[in-house]
Amino acid sequence: MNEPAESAQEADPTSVAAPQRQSSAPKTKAAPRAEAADRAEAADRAEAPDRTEAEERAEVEERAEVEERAGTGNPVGPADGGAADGGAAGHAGRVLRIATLVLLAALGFGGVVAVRSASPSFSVARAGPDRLAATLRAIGAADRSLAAQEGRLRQTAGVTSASPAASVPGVGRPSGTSTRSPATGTADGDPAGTGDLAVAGGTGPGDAADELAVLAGTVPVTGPGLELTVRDPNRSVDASVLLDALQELRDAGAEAIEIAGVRAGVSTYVADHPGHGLVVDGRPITAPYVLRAIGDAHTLDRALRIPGGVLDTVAARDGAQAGVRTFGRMEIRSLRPTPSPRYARPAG
Amino acid sequence: MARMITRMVANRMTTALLALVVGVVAGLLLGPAAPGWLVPYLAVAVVAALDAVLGAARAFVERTFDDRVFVVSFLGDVAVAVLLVLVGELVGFADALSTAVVVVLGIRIFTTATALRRALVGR
Repeated sequence: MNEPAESAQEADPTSVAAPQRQSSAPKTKAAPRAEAADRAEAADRAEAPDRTEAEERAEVEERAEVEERAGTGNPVGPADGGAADGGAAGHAGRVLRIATLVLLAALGFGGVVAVRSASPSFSVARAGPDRLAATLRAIGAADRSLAAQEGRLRQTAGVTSASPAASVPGVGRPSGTSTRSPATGTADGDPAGTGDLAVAGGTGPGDAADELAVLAGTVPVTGPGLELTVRDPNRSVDASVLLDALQELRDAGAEAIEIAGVRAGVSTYVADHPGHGLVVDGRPITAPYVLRAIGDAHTLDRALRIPGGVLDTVAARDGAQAGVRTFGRMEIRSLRPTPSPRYARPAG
Repeated sequence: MARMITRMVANRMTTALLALVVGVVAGLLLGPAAPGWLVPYLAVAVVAALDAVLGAARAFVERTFDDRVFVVSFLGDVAVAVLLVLVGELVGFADALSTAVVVVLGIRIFTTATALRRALVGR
């Protein structure tokens, strides 16, 4: 890149020595030029095409002189800048040298700014919606895998503390008892048979049953949440839209969900019912479809509003509209039948 | 004569490093965050500038350094790099083109660094 550099630095000794001959030039002549360096450079550029060889030579000498001055540590004074014929070129050289330093400073400055801007907090703040959605998905996946790991570890802890009776009393389950609820003192007194369940939920048997009932949808529930209303005058919303909404709400941590009056559970399905609307768990429903979910209202709301997510999908359907209302407190009173597994039994 | 040139080299090097340090300190003190749209351009611009500065260091060690060449190559490199990313943004593969720019500049930086090392250690 710098290969074609002029050979000023390699110039023969005479050119380096040349400035001494010129250093006796009048001081007054050079002083204004130092202040008008920019203009001098412009002038230099303007006259560049018809420069004579002598002027070029003068420029080389001038640069060598500047070089020498920098080397000997002399202050940049007007006294030795006064080569009468090569002055403009010399000032251009000085301007270029200053430009070099300015560019170096700019590199330092820009580098710091770039490094700062690339730090994680900044990159999240300016990431596009797609990137954020991907990050969110990755975090969700990590969360699920950690939750699964936690479950396995709890189970292991339960087994090790339950089987050798009271050899290590209370040591196996401290984390489980401390995170969920304080009412777990009773868990230590459980017979070994229910111990697993209690440890898995981290709570006493009664609490665990209640929690499971909430998740299974067999009891009415109350809490903060939101209501998603999908209006669909042209019947353009199909089952996949509602299923996506259901999954999105579940992903966002909804603990109880109701679709058009049908409590959603693990086996809930949504199917198309051509000409009529949709079918949820065997019950036909018609627009507007109202989904109600209990969970962290803000999180649920954000989940539905993810770009390309539920609200966008509904809005893209012909004539369909979606509205979201959040509630500090709401109730879901619809119930699911108590599941009664025919085949699966808890494994000892 | 040789001693004078050595001192001259050392002095210019010091000034250059000083300018760099001044820039870094200013960046640290002012601590501005680049606006979001600028960040990709800033990143390639910095890499391009780094390439130019390394090239200048090489030229300096090889005694062929020239301010004019440096200023032109610095601005030119940065402009081309930013322009490429801009074109990529317009055409739709901004990421691919900035990767291309960074790869090419990276190769150049390595080449220059090798030459620089040879020049410095080989003496």
